[in-house]
Parts: sequence; C-alpha cells; structure tokens
Amino acid sequence: MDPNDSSQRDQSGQPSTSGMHHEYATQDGSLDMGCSDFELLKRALLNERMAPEILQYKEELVERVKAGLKRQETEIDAMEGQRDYELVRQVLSYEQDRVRFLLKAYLRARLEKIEQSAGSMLDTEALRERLSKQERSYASSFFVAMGRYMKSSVLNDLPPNYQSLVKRYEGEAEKRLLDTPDEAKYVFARVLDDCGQVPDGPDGQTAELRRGDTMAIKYTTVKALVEAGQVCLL
Amino acid sequence: MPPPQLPVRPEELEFFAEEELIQIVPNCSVPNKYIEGILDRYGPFEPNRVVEVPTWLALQLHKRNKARILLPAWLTSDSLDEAIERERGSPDSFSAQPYHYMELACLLLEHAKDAFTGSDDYFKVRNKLAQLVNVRRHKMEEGLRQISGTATVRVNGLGGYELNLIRNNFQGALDMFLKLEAVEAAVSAPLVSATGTFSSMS
Repeated sequence: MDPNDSSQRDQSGQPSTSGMHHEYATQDGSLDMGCSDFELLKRALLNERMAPEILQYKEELVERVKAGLKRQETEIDAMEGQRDYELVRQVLSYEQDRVRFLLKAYLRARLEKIEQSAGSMLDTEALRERLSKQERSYASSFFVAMGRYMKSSVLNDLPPNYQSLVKRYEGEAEKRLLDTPDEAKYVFARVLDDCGQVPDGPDGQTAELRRGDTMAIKYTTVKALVEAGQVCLL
Repeated sequence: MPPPQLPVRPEELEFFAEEELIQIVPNCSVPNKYIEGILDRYGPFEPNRVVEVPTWLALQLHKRNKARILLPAWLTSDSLDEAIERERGSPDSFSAQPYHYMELACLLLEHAKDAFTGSDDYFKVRNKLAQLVNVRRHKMEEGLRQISGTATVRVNGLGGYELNLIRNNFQGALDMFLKLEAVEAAVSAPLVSATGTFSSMS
C-alpha cells in the first residue's frame, strides 16, 4: 500500500516514529495550514459535538464560508440555461448543498448546547465571550422564554422563597440551579501536531501525544490543545 | 433506559467520507477544464486523463456516466490480504487503515460495482473486507475486556466506523471509572487531613 497515495492536499511529508503509521486521508493535514475550509468546519463541528462545554465561536471561518456560498449562488444562477455548463452547474449545486449542510450542523450543535445551559452561559463572562452576537441574543431570549414558562407553570405556585429560576432558595449565595456541563469525561482525540508530554493525572502522570495518534483520553487533559487546534476530537 | 445517542451518526460519517479523494477517468470535458467550487478547484477534466476528485464528485459523475472510478490502492484484493496478515500478526495494535475505509468501501461496493474488475473482483474484495473487519472487531472486543481503570489509551489505526462501535462501551466504562475515582478521592481525603498521616480506606 502506498502510504502517500492521497493528493495535493496532503501536508504530511514525514512519517511518524512508529513504523506502522501511514497517513492516508487528506483529512489528516496538520493545524490550519493547507486545510480546506470544509476540513476546518468539520473539525469545528466534531469538536463542538464531543466537548461538554461550548467552544469559541469560529467567526472568521463561518463568515468566509457564508461569503463563498453567496458568491456561488450568483455563479450558479448565471449558468442557468447554458447547455455547456449544465454539468458544472449540477456539480456546483451539489457542493453548495454539502457546504450548507455542514455549516448548519455546526451552528445547530452550538445552539443545542446553548439551550442546555443558557443560564450559566449568560452568567459567566468567559462563556459569554465564546458566543457570537446572534447566539448571545438567542441565549437571552431563550432563557427569558424558558423562565416565563417555568414561572407560569410551576414556580409561581411554590412558596415565595423558592420561586427563583437560578437559586434553590432565596438567600442562597450561589446560583446552584444553573447547569454547568460535566467536564470529567473521556473523548476520542486525534493529535494533529506533536504535543510532547502532556500532564494527564493528579499525581504528575503525563501522556505523550505524537502527531497522528488517536487517543481515548480525558477531556480535561486535551481541553487547551483543542482550543489551540493541535488536537481535534473524533 | 435507551442507549445514549451517538454524537456522530453513520450518515454523517458517510458525508465526511465523501470528501476523501479518489481517482477517476472522465470521458467528457468541461468548459475551462476546471470546475471552480467554493472550497476547491476540481479537475482538470479531460477525456481519458486520470484525475483525483472528492468521492462525492466521483459518484455524481459516475451516476451520469461521465467517468469511470478507479479502485483505491488500499481496497485491492492484494492490499486487503496484506492488511489481514498484518492484523493477525500484531495482536496489540491495529494496522493503519484510512479513517473512512468502511464508509468508502461500502459506497463503492454499492454504487460503483464496475470499479471492481479483473483480479479485484467484486465478491473477492467484499469477502476480504469482511474478513478484515472481523479480525479488527475481535481485537477491539479483546481490548474492551481489558479495561480495568481509568487510563489514556492509544488507539491508532481505528476508523470512524469502529470508534462508533466501541464509543458507548469504551467511553462509558472509562467515564464510570473516572466517577468512581472521584468518589474514592472524596471519601478518603477527610481521613488524611484528620489524622495527619495517610490511612487507606480499604
């Protein structure tokens, strides 16, 4: 089997230290260099799906893809009716559908997470920063609507000290009813770039992450690496 | 309780697999030779000239009888034989396969039967693929039996389909161990601070 039989998009070049490792798929390209937007968007989607908390919104990537889609719309419309371009038009619409699907899937995955823990996202500065402007306004209107529903169906019938949406009882110091996602879980991760030894446990254990490895690993261990783009989740 | 949903569904894996490059031989040409897409420029499309395109494009052209698909190198009968040998020869690790090998193979077996010609006959390849999948699956099951605590496990060589097969079981078991460890830590901690020396609970 030819290890480098994929194409012009393959950035791999060097084999890793273990002899058994071959890079086949173009989708093993490292970091952001030479990676298509599809690959970047796909990674963003999978990272969102697998991570327990919401990740930083990829504003630039989404805007770029949206601009590309819009540009293509006009191109495709221009080809309408020209017989020579019929095949090209079909191919381009198909590609457009694919890109649109991927973009929607990414945005939907984020919306689902927002709906799960809107309250805590609005409450924590750090999490609020990770949302886009539209997502922030969606989170507030969702929380308000949810709150209105809860109040009218249940909370207003409870004794006065227990009617809060965010605290278990009036006078509680923290907002204990706000749901924060549980970070103690395992994920499958693909290492895109050599990370060396990464702290992995309370007793100073480390794990070695080499480029091309697929690992079953604690989310907390790779959290920062996912943000940096050195690791992506599968 | 129903089993937890998979975060990546098989249809989505197939969607991602369709982006992988595959070789085709077109029998037509397009104006300007290339097709300028949003993400990439596809081509050059010239009759009887081999070109690499994403699988979705290959399948679309194939459906319209505009191109012939060439079997990828890893899906030939000989490659599969070698892969099976390697799998059997290394009980502790998986031989490297393209991440989407399962999805791509199924797509080709279903939609591009005419790519399987000559010595890479359809039934031969299909049987060998089934064998390979079985050998790998047995290895995975063995590995699952050996989980006895939280650990960081390297699982190089597994494909998307296989990760999904073991995801609930594997991740579920590891998550459970993680929870149990947290409980154990919480329970044994007060004893340490109260007495000032370490005294184990068990």
